Amino acid sequence: MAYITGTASRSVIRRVPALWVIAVGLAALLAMSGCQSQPGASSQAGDAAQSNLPNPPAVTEAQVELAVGDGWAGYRRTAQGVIYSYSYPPGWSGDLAYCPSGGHESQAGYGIPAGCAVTDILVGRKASDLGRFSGDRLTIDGKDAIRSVDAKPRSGMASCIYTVMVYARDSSPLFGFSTSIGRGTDPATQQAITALLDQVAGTLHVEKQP
Amino acid sequence: MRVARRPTTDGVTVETTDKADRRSSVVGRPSSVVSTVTPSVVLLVLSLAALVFGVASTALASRPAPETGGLGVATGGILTTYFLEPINYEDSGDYYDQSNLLQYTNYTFHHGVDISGGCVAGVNPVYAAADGTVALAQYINDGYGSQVALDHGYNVGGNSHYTYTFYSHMGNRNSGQSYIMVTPGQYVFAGQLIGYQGNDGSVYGTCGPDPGTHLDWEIRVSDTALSYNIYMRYGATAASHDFYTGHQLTYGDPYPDASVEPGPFSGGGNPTDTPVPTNTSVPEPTWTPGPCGMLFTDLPDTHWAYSYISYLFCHNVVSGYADGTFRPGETSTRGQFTKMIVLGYNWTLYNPVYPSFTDVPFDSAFYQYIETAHLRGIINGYADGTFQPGNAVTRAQAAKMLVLSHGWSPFDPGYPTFWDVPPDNWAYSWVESAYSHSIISGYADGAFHPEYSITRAQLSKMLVLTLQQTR
Repeated sequence: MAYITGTASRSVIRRVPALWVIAVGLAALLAMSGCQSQPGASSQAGDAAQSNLPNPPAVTEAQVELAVGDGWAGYRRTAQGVIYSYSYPPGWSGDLAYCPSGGHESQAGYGIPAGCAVTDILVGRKASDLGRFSGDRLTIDGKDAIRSVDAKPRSGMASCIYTVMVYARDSSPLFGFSTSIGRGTDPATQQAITALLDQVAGTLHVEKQP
Repeated sequence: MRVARRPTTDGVTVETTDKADRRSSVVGRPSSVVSTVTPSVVLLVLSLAALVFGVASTALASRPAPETGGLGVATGGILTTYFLEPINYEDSGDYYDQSNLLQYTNYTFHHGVDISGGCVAGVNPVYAAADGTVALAQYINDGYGSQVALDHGYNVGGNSHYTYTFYSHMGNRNSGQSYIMVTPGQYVFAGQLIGYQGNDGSVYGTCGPDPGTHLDWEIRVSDTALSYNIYMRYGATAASHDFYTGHQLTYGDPYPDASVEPGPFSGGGNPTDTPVPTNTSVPEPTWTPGPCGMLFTDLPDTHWAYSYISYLFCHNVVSGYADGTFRPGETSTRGQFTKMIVLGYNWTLYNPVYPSFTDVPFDSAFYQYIETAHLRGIINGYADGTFQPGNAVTRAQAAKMLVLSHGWSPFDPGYPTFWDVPPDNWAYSWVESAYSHSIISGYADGAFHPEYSITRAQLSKMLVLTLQQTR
């Protein structure tokens, strides 16, 4: 599909109505279990829009179209027998890392700077290691999927960890990603990043290599 | 510590720690620490250790001494537990920086020691810090990524606790690869390879291709035995956090034997309440020689480059180091790679009377190999008349040398394959030629990174891919 190898366009999104359903569904889930580290932190889109992120998250169909279609790029790769692709927003790298502040290692050892996010790709053994975990059950790319947002990771190494896993027909873990958001990230930015990741997850296409 | 400087079978003079010296830390205090204490203290410590170990020491003593590493001793209320350093600084190569890279974590959120692995994941080995059972070996999305937990049992060093060590971020963030080399239930010995440093989990870095590569190493203790599950880390006290603050690894020594000298033990527990478990069924380590009898202690058959290195070993191209290692993660030098190429093609060695390069004299271990390669036009050296055999070989240099060695022509596809090797780059046609023959590839971001150095494992693969193609 066109957006797999190039920039996602509105026309492509329109041709894939399932993506709308997924994205909106994920956004709705976000509103219920958003990545908030402080009680009472707002999950309103308006708050998120005040963050420094490009294309702030949205929960409406129209806003989803704008967010996914506006400058998003495609990423496709084959790893350990799995072909996967997704679209990612401007300001992010293809491997789903984001750090507008341009943090440096020496600032906090290897800790992720506040406002930044890095992502683990989960295929093969790592996907199997994670297996099935508690979270929201979804359908992504026509396959069963689970999404979780850990708003208070026990390790304390991140302010929030977002994980999504797509499962094969036989229920074996096929592909997923787990994104850590740096400690000290303000709730609005956490919320915005999480919402963007929901949208990224909505563009996932995963298949086993023939 | 004795540090020996000796030539290896690869013709490289390296400093290595004498094995007997390392082994000494198993039964006593590490030499680097011994040198800092008085003899009377040593005697006291050893005497108390003998008393404390009691029955447990019987089980430990019944096993063959591990290659390296010791468990420790306790004196009164002070715990002084020694663990083997979980990495090999010799393998860390250029990444080892005594002043900077052995970082102590004094962050409130972090309970371990971060040890830099450079910028390339999957090349720097991680070793068990002490004997123990693998309790956990998997990826967990809690921030620590791919992690291994070792159970060292009760009363290690007489600490009256159950002690565990954790090794984290042992996977590749982008490729999804796990570098864990052990499985739950497996018994490992101090110094045994358990995996490679990686960068998954909540890790940040800026260098490439694998930013943030490092080992997060933690020691945790518990009053009760922990169940083996993904939450076990959080059921134990992060001893390392309390102990390490204000203390230092013995990184002043380039080859430290025992790396941790914790401070006063503040954990609870009564040293007389819990019986010391005995281990009567400790499996013996097995190690089967590979093809042609190849046996490198740091190259398990599961290593990604095992088949390539085996090929070269069987063709007498590589033979490893005198200490039985191959050091696959070590950066390869221009001299080493030149020798590998000459041996790989089995060229007749050329021994001219006068050297071609001012820094490769007649008595150099690389002399005839470099002269042979020079005679065949594979290498030219630098404008100042040197060859600089000890410098790391770069990806661009390796590409050129392999293309020339195999007799391929430089190639200009008209449009650069890699954005960072444009047509006006000196290596352009060589890199393109090497790429067209499938002996090299680029990175996911479309770059080639021509100035990156290459590890011995990576060069082995490139050379084998070249040698196996029709000339």
